[in-house]
Amino acid sequence: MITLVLERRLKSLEDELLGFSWETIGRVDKSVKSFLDEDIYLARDIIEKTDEINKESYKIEHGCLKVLGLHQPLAKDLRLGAALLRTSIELERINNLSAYIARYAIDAGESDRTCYKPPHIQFMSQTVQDMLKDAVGALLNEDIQLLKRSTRSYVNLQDFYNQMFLEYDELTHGGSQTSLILVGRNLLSMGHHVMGMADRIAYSIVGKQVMHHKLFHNMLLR
Amino acid sequence: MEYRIEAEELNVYFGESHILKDISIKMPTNEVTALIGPSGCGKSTFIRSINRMNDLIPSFRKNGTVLLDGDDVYDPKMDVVDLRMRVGMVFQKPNPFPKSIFDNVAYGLGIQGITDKEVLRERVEQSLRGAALWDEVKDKLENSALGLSGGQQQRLCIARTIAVEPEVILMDEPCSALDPISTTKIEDLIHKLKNEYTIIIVTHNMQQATRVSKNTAFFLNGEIVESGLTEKIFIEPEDNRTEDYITGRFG
Repeated sequence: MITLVLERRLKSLEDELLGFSWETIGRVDKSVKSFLDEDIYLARDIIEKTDEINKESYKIEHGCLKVLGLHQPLAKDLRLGAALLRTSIELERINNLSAYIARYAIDAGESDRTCYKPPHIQFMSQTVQDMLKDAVGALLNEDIQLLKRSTRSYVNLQDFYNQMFLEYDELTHGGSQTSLILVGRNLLSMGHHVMGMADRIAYSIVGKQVMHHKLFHNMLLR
Repeated sequence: MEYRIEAEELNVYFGESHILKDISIKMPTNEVTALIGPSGCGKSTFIRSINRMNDLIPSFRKNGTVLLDGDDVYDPKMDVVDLRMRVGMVFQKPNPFPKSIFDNVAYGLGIQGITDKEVLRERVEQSLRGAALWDEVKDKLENSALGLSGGQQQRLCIARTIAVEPEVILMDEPCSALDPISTTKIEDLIHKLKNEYTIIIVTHNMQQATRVSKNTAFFLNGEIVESGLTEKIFIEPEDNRTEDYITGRFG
């Protein structure tokens, strides 16, 4: 009986996290769209709804604390609770980064300077969305292969950013491409947050510590 | 690392029933080791093999070894009375003697040959302090032990155990008959005692095992399925049977 109650509570948290992750993915897409299209109204809408959306994270966090405190789960139930908690927090941060991108969209829309928008931004946005889908899918389905697909995509994300930075860096001194680089940085940061989630999700699934720092070191040192 | 207790390929039988099967485990000195597992899996039989309490059962036989500081406890030269002074035991139901509080603690010292009243008084006080009971009973040492509460009686039993300065304390579900506050006091006491004694505790309470022990062994059907650091067993168990048991999905 006690196990059934715990299982039901964990399932409920998983369902809430799934809903929250889809909202987050949608916001990443819309925030980049607002930047690319210089759609100030869409951008304002994203910013205004950030607090409301993030309340879901607090709800999931509170739910996880209740499970951990009242049920004292062990082994994979404990690891799952920890992974749900961490994932929820990282999704909240990604939502905040979407709001920053929307802010750059407003700045770009309101300024006189033209800003060429290369395809890299859209590629990066799509990569982040796919990473998120795969990471959350991996958590909910205990699918380590799906998680590997998510983390491998980080390399593509970094490559898109590097290419964009190298191609357009010479223009940033003029200020017209600064927002482009900043949006790119925010999308890269989103990738970092997905990698942070991935560590905890991997631990939840396989019960061993898997740190992705090597990936970062290899890229920074190449 | 030093090991106070070592069991090697221990098999225990009661008549035709094979109760413990090839048990091999080492209990580190001055650490708490918890034994967990479903009812009837052999945990209590195992700890009773350490202090030879199973000898009292006519159909008991065994093969394999149990070592206490490297000495085989089943060696014919081993003095069982001396063994049970070195390996004390606290049972599930508090079992103070129908004597005064003072006499309960002093009893074992008398068997050791200590008769000096001053020495007895000091040792009794030391033991009651060690069991976190002194402040509650210092003014009524001559009162009957049976007048104490359940939690106090259990702490008295612990005081009685440590009075003879054992090396090992075996605890067979010491808190299962106690209320939550008494349980907390006993657990706090275990944390204190582990600095001086090697403690082996049988418990059905998983959370208790995580709270008090450094090492845990999971018993199932007379075998040890998995043993190791408590945090590993309860967070990253390697065997599915361990995982199923501690998450309540067993059976």
